[in-house]
Amino acid sequence: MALITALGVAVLTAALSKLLAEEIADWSAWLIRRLTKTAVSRLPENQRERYSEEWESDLNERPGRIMKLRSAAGFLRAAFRIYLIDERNQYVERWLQRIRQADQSYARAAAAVNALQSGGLCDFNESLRSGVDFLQLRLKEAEEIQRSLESNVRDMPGPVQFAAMKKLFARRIREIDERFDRILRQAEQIAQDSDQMVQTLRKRKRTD
Amino acid sequence: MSRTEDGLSGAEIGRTTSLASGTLYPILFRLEEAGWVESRWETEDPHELGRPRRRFYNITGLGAKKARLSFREVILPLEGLAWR
Repeated sequence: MALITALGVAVLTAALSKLLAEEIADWSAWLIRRLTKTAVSRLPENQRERYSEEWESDLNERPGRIMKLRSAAGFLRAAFRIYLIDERNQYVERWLQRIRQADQSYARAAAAVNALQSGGLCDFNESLRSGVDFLQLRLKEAEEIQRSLESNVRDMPGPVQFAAMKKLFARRIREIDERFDRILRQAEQIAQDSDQMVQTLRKRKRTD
Repeated sequence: MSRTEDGLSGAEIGRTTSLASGTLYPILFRLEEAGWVESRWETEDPHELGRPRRRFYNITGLGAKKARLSFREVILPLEGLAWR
């Protein structure tokens, strides 16, 4: 009787173990899919398609369910960090774009100042010399401010620190944004003023 | 990461460097954004392969140059040390 009971328990244990193993396998497969899907949904929109496919192939290359599960859990962390990196890069790119735009305006203004000085336009009217000098001074000042902003962008903290900074110093970020806007407007104004000055002087020289 | 013709997939780099996926992919993303590393999809058809396409990473010329410089920055100060 005891033997039959022991045999019955053994059969039942084996059946339950098999069932449990199958259940765990099914659950882990579901969990891996779920984790990967959640990670992909947390990525910046333009990266989702790529990483969805790339991470699927990554999981395919990993042997065993535990390794796959570990990798899928890592995707969540990766997605969070990629999101932060992308966000920071967008700020940097936006500011660098403004620096490039300001650079173009400064180049225009510098060319105008050059034309005023080397083309003999200044000699035409002595009183306009002070105007050119003033323009040159503004240009120099604006360029210095721009250089300091440029170094701010270069020395920007890493993505995680930047994310924290963005929350803690939202006002400071807004100020930097506004400062860039002002610099850009100022650069464009300087460029327009110098263009205008060159045109006016050329016109007056022709009529005289 | 060595310079191979096809490059290495993320999982292969992870195995070589012992980096977990949560650390590895953000690093690759940053290196790619900086132009130090480039990546491309496997050219074979995934249906024929019977598995998802892999994305291969390769170091760029700029990346190799920067890596050499960074390596020198780390190694040079260590050369003066005496391990006793």
